[in-house]
Amino acid sequence: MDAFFSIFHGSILVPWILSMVMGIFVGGAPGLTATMAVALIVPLTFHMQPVAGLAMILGVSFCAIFAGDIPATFLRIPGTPASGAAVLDGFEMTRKGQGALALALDLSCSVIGGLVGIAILILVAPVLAEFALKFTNFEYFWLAVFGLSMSAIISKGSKTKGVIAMTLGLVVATVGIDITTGFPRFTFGSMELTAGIGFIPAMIGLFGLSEVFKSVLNPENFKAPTITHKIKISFASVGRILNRNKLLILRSSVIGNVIGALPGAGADIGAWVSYGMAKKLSKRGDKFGTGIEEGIIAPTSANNAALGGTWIPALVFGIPGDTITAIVLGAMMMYGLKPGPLIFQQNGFLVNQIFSVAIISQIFLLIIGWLGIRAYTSLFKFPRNVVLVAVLIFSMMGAYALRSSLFDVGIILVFGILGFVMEKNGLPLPPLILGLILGPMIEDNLRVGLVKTDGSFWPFFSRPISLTIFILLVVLFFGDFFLGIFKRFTQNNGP
Amino acid sequence: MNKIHPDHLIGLACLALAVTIYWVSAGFPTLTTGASELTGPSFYPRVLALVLVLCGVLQIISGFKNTDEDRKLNFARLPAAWSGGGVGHVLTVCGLIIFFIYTLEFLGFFITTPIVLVSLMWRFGVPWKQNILYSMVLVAVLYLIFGKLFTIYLPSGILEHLGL
Repeated sequence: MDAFFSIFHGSILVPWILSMVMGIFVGGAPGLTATMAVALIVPLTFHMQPVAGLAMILGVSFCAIFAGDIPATFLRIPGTPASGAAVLDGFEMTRKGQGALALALDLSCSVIGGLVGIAILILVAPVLAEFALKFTNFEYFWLAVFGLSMSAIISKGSKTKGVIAMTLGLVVATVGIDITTGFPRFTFGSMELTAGIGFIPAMIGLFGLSEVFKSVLNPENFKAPTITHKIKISFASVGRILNRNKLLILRSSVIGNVIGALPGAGADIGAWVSYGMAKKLSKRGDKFGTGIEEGIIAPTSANNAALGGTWIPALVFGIPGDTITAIVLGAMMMYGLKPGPLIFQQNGFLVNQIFSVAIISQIFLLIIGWLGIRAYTSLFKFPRNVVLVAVLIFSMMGAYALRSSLFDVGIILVFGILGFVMEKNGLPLPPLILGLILGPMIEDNLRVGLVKTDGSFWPFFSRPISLTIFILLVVLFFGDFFLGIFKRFTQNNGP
Repeated sequence: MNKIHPDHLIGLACLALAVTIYWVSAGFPTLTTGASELTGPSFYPRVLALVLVLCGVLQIISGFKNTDEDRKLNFARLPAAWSGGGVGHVLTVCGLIIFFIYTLEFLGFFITTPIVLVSLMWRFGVPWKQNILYSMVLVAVLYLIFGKLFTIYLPSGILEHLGL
């Protein structure tokens, strides 16, 4: 308990809250992501005591992951990959004039998901870590394929088109140096391509620029404000929605948390799997994607819960749960902390402080997130033509800023055109970007696994966890097909 | 020509891409130990190529099965859909992005960016007074965020040579 109260000290609170505000701003701006927010805050933490630095990092990550949903909902541009799933129903709700409700729901679910995730972290860390330890290349391969396939299946359009989009993403991910052999693939002699195609500029182009193209192609509402509806929502109505979806919130948070606990799998996979599960298990499954509450609740609780999960392997094993915790672990080592099983004994007080900070961050998130929504809504009251220009220049600068590379700005252009063409032809965008992100994970685990087994594919199917995920995958793809055959069969044999 | 459905084109594009991948990856080296072909650089791209072939075929089949009249490509209709201010806007955006890429380092951030902003807003119909005001504000905001907060190097371009 001492640890809990110790965090309410000015020297910790002030930078902590300031970094949360920064997280909202950076996460909510199209072109800037949650990982960027964390990466940018870390150097600022070096002058502080460890607990203040960690509080800043925790605060900024939770806020940025939530804030990524703001442009996803209002502009159909995910602020960060974990918000990819929020685009589906969030934007549809905005089109129905319910954008503010969507975000209020989003915020509440993020906070609840975050709290559930942390609760699981505190209670279950060792057990979950045991489970995570069982995962080797074979399981990681299937998990990544599963998460990716989820996004392909549940996106709008036919399953085939979803798979095409996902495969395109995987193909793009192969451009660059092959990690295992060091051989440059599909680089056609270009030095920039040797480094591969960055997923952030690709994401900005695919979602941001293509949306700008779509908007400018029909310049009817150009001079009108981007968002016209009010932000007065009663918390009572949000409360009612939350109440009738208690089970969904809990389930999504747990899914998000478990996936976050797997090293390398973070909020983005968590959000998609949760969305996919919710859609399959819901009575209103076919309404997903048209702007319904479950479509918001599932991914937004999951992605914040996943953050809590990513700290499990980080604290218990010193293995990052995702890119954000990878950065955090680096920072912790600079403070002289050694994450791992011993950290609970040697730095028990600090660990409790971390848990306390995580919990209180959720409360702060509720307030700061709310202010962030209002701030962004005021920004979006500007006429559409101005907002689009601002989005465009932020996207271009955001891409340039990553590596001080104008090549990345070119990537935005190429993917912007690609995204536009894809959408015109019914090909969904999220699977492509997820394929780009997960491609290396899928290929590396496949090949390392094959090296381990000396070329045999058998362990990919015989290991229990691998087999389970594989069966889930088959059900996912072909379940409807077999169900259809089964129904026809039983009808023919009926009375 | 009226029977061509966009799905056919998607399918063909998939097949074309698959063939390209397969052909380019033929030039990748293969390892000579252990599970050589399976863990070399060409294995995985070829698996992807295979998936693309499958999808391409499914798409082409779907193109034949799909009787949605609206989606059938009618080449005579296309020019009508592309007229109007919209396409000009798209081309302006593309053109200005290319301009940005080629001039940012030469002209510098403080010349290229305002040019891009003012041109975009002009093209999109923002009144001049607001145009200049918003552009100035945006340049300042971008400078503060990227140049100062994120400490990204923003090229000075020719301003440097002028001693500014």
